[in-house]
Amino acid sequence: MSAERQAGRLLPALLLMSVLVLAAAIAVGAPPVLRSLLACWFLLACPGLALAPLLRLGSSLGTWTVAIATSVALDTVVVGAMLYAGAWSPANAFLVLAAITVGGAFAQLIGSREGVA
Amino acid sequence: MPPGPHDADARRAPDLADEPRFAALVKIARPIAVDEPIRCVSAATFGVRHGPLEVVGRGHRPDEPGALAITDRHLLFAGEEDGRLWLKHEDILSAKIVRLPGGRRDLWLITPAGAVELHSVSFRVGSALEQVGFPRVKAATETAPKAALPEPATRERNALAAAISAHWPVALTAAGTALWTGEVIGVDPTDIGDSGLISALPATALVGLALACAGVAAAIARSRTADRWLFAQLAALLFALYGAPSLIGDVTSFNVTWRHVGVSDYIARHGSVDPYINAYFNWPGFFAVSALAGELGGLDDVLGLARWAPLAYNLLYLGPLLLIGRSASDDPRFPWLSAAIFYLCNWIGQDYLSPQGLTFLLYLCLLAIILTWLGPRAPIDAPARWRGLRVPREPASARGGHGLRPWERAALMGICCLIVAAAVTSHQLTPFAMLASVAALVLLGRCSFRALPTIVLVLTVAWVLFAADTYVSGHVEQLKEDVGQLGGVLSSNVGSRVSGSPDHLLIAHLRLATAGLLWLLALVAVVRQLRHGTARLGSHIALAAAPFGLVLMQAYGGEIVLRVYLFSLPFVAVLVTSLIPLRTGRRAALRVSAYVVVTLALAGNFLATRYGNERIAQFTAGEVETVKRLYDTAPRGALLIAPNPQLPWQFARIGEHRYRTLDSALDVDAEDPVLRRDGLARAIERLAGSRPAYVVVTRNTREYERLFGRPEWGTIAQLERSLTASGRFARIYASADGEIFALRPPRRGQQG
Repeated sequence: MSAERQAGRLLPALLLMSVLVLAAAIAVGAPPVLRSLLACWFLLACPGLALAPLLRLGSSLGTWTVAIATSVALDTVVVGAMLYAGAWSPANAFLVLAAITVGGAFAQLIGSREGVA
Repeated sequence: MPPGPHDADARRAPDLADEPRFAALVKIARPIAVDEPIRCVSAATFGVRHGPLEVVGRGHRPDEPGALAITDRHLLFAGEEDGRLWLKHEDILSAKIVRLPGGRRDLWLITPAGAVELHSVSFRVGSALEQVGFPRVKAATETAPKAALPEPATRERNALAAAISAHWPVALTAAGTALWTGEVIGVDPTDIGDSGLISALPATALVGLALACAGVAAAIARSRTADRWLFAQLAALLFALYGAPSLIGDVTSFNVTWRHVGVSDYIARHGSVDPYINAYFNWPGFFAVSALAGELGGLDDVLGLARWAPLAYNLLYLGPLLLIGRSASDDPRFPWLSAAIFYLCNWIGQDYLSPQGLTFLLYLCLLAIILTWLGPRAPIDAPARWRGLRVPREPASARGGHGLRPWERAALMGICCLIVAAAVTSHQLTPFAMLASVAALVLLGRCSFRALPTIVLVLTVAWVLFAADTYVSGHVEQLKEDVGQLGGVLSSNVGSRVSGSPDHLLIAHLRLATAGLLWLLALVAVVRQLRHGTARLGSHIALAAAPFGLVLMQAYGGEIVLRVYLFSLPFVAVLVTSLIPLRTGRRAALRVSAYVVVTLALAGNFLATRYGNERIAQFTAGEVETVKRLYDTAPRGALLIAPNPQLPWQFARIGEHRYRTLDSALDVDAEDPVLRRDGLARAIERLAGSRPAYVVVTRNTREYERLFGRPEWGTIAQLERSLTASGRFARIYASADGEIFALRPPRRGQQG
């Protein structure tokens, strides 16, 4: 497997792991310090990191910046919509953001396979 | 070997992508140097290799023709067959151009692992090496190349010398940060004087901060420092400047943080907002996100997150700040320098757990995206980058300006709209700053997303009219009062803030001087740009000026000038950086020394201006205990009164009580006959009406009064005397850090 292809799979794998580990930490009631760190990482970076690399912005700094902005904006819009719709639910908000993350991660995996082929 | 360099400078580089040797160069550049501006591309021939030099590709042959590129961080060579070489500048101990008979120039490179010669390079290679920080490369005349392989012992010494030479600023920053942090977190909040944190710091802490700053300054000044080391050092400095001071004492500092924690707590408990409680509930986006973070993190409240908020925010700001700096200059040091200036001059302190801290991140990201990818279709003075050289997947014509395909551009526009939507739901002021900035860019033809100002305006107005109408309809007169009142706004923003004890006055003057000096330097940079007729910084000038329009709109509770300073600071920092000479080559030691001295001066100023209010910002556990007692005692619907806002309250049970401070409730009534005749106790009784009322006084409310002077309604000592003497109030709790008075219920037959 080429280095480029490996690198293309590393980020999606990290994102999928982040979702799974946070979900597991919530499910088993892990210590708040660990859960807080995982939650902040997930909310600040994961949804955006799932989407921004699809744009091929040509710079890792640019990709990370767009990813963080996208994550924060998505978090705010999703929970804001839930709040005003009278459907506030942290679990559902997590599921929506996790779905975006997982969807973007798979899109990256498919993109990296097509790119190499 | 035929002499004659077939070089191409950076601007012709895209034409070369079709040639096999340049295509090979592009291929090795993509994974390691794709972001880096190219200083020079030259034809070259692989010459002699001495020593293992493992970085050289497998199977190269002597005299293999190829191409050489010098970027801001790397030296790359790709032969037409298998010859490959990629070296970081920091791994090159020395570089020398050797001129041979017949006009041929060879490049000799010595690294800790061995030496290599590249033959027949362009005459531009020498100046390119100087540009990226190698000592002046003179062409020496030689009759024959000499073997340059060092002995093993010499190689080890060279490697050690190279490691020390490359990383001493890192070591300095790490040691300084450790020393500073150890001293700062040991500071007792009660030792802090009127001039703020600086008054309680031991000399060793200052030495630590000086070392950390010197390390960062030296790393930036030396152009050969790798980005990852610059990032690590700046992150360490950010921890020192913004993280460690948040860890002082056992209690979260700053009264407004406690209030914000209370709003998040309300949303987490109720799952809804009540727009009648206060303004925060009309712009709840940030509070909903922080409530979600607290819930996912399994926290009782978000107080624990609040202590790390300044560090987290400032680390997050770094990405967009570097992009903004990159959009202003091709010099690799420029973005780091402008970011450092931003951090060392950001004394505003809006980066606590707050909506404005988060929306400032969105503001920076929005403008960084526009400056980097959504600028004019034809880039103004665009740098040559690998992006232009690489072989695209689609034909080049399919890609628009800035190397983006149409759908990528559309996606970035969508992200911009999402960012605006998030800001509009979270903060009152930031959308207006975004509007002013993007409108300025569009008007000047520097943003190709021309619908963006309209989108910002529509979203903002729609939110104000439909979601925040409860707050806006109740404050129309107040909001209208300030519009266009420049004199009144400046008086409430500047005049009223320059007051207090002599030490605190000094801090206030330092803050004004910092802002004035930065704006003056930015003005000098603007004049210089105009005189030179260059358009490169036009966008940054517009973005530095646009937030000033907000002054005509609102006093914003006496804070609008502070916010304008913050919104313009990233771009003011860019303009100030443009005045700093970045030339490399000669007098490197002098340059490093100058950077260190200026950084130390800015750091000292930062310490005084940023943490000048720590005397009243830091709370004790006793103060928090006093407020908790208040909540345990006061029934639902009670009126809770404090002399001023400097106490840790409203962090729980928001919406169950009414909060008033005498500063806001009684200041206009200083001549009130009731107040003059019957004293403060009677005035408070009148405020309470028929509801239960409690007056709470804490250590910091007293400190606030001492620092900023006596308010119009009287003093806390007078308040305590009046409450005690009135017979209508009972002292129900008292400790060294606070006391609580309760209004006795009226006796049967007694008038309220």
